Amino acid sequence: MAGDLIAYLESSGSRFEPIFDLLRSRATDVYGAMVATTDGRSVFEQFEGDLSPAKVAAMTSSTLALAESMARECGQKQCRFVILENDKGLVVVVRISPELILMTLSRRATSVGLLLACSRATARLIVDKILADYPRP
Amino acid sequence: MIGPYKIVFTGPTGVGKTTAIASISEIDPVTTEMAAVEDIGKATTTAALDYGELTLDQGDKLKLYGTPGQPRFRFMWQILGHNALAVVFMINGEADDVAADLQCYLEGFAEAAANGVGIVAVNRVLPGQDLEPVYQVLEAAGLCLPVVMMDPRERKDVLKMMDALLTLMEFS
Repeated sequence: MAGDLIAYLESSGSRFEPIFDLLRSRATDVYGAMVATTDGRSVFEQFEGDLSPAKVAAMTSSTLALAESMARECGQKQCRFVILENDKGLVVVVRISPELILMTLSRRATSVGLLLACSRATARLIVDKILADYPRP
Repeated sequence: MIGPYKIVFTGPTGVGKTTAIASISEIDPVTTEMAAVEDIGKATTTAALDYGELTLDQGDKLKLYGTPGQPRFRFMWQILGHNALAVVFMINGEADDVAADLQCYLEGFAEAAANGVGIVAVNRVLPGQDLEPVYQVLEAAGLCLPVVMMDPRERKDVLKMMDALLTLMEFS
């Protein structure tokens, strides 16, 4: 099962490209997006600039893991998403599935609400794509 | 000693860092387990950190941090290693290249090991296994760290290792 999933993910990256293009057309200040595995590896990414996909994928995994752990510790049950609001931009991390995470980057001009809405819509499209391509037993 | 003190457990994926901390922590450990997509012989893996606490007889509190094992999480090693008083280098005796594993984590925690105290805890040692490669790596790194056998599932084993580590801390 794990081997099948890895093989699918390794061959699936480019299948997400139209979904990422749609995200960037809806939120024009988005300058990066990535699908990463929960254990910190990049499946597919579109970045402007010199970001390291390997490093960002691992950090995406750690960020969501810490947020989910904090939600549990505080008795707030399941973490739905993580937003980092920074001096020069926003980072949104959304869980796509038990094994996958979506991370989006935007400049400050994008509102938090818009980026979050677009990220969640993108996550749903990726789930639909995976379910269509990779039906689970 | 005046606590609290930060002790970091590091080593390869699946060596038992999370288990070791859970074995001795007096609080429910904080874990950050995520589904493992790559085949690592288990369903989940630590993606950020583990955290537990242990209070010593004289009242000093130890804060126990576990690291992710995969080198791609090296940024977490740097975060967790900062201001660590001691590092527990956990190594799997059944690994294909025990020396290379130890070398990787000694390099990853070079600053913490140089500034603090360290110990090597070997899990799953085979009967009659020669641990000379471990000592050779330590010698090459210029480190004189004790090497102990430890089953992370056994509380008494982990506490015994901690005793050795605390003794080192007292005299460092």
